Amino acid sequence: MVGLRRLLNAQVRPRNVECFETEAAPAFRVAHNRDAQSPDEVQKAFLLSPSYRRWSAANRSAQEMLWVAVGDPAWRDRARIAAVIRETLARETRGSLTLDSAYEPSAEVADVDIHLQPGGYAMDLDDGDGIAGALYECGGNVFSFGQGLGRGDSKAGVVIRLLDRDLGGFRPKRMLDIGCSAGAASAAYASEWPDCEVHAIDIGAAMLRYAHARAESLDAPVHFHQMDASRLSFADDSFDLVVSHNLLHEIGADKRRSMMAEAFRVVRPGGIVIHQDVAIRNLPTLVHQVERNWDTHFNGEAHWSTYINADLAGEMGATGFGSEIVEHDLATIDGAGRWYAISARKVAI
Amino acid sequence: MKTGAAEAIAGLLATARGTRPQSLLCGEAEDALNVALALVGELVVANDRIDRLERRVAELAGHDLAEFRDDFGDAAAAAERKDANDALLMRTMRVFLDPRTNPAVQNSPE
Repeated sequence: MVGLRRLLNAQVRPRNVECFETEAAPAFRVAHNRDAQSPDEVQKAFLLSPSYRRWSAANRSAQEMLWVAVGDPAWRDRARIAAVIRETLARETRGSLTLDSAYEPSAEVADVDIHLQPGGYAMDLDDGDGIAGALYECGGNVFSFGQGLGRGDSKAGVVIRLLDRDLGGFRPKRMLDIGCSAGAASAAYASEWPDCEVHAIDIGAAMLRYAHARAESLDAPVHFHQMDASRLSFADDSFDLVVSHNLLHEIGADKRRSMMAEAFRVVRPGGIVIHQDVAIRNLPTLVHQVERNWDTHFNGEAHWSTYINADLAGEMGATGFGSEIVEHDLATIDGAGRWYAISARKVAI
Repeated sequence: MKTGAAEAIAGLLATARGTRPQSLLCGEAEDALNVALALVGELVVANDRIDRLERRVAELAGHDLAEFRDDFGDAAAAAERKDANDALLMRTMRVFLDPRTNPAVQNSPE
């Protein structure tokens, strides 16, 4: 599966923009007596290209097969995963799990099978369920390796390196990871900084049960909370560091702005906020942008283009940050990929 | 009770939501492509397992791997394998040989 995804991503997909010039644009011109101009027209033109259609069909198929490949063993292992979760919840642990039974997971995320993950991020089958977390972690790994990322890559590692190199080796005593999913980054921070109190939030109960059991199995104490990113229940100025990983592209503009405002509210003066995400912004042409926007139409990524086109620096500035907002183009820790990040330090009083 | 693989896949698929947007002009062709790609995946896994078995058997038998792979056995075994391979090709390529025609194509105007 990784091999198929690598072939499609590294060898076939790079030809899509060229196919636009040789197949899509001429076909659109024949049909309309003019060039495609708007994003919608460029998308329609792409679908006139046989080469693009072949890649698109194969890429969608590979994404569906990814979930079958990891979902088969994960689903068969549901009972064992549930047993580990219940055993973890029953014993004394260094971290914790706080679920909110009154919370209705945000529909704009919960009601969509984002990147075609069956059942989505908030699927919750029973009180010991952790399948959404298992699917997310296993599927995410296969996806990432298929994108060319190495096994040693780490989103938390990218942020820690950014803190070391560009932010004076900043070290938090208390931090928050917003939209933690299966808790891979949260646990990595807890392992890297044993003296830091790590909190993490997400919307799905099953996702968080899995994250909690996973973190405890790694002896990485994390305090997981079921909570909406746009309505944090933490006190003002209560964290030294607030991060999010790959969250910006999973939520709509209103929730993103609310999440950013909440991040600003809960970080202390002198503290730092870093939102890390996929490096698909700042593409050179409209054709490149629309090509990258395949995920919106075929991969359940409803907010992909919203993220690509957002004025994130302006939005962070509107929350209260000043001129210290910086957008980063970061190399991956392992592999030849890139990550996007935007950081800001709250002005000390 | 242990959950079987087929049951697990069916259970997983039952949770999937949303639409399956089509890329190719023909939905049936896209379905066929999906089946073909799934079989490619199965073949990759089968090849991987055969390679590991060959290496292990050669190691246990004290043979050089290349020599082990080049050992096609006696003529009877080779003929049996060839027949099986030809049958596999016949099964997979049968639509190119099927004498029956598509009436839609047969009756279409020039």
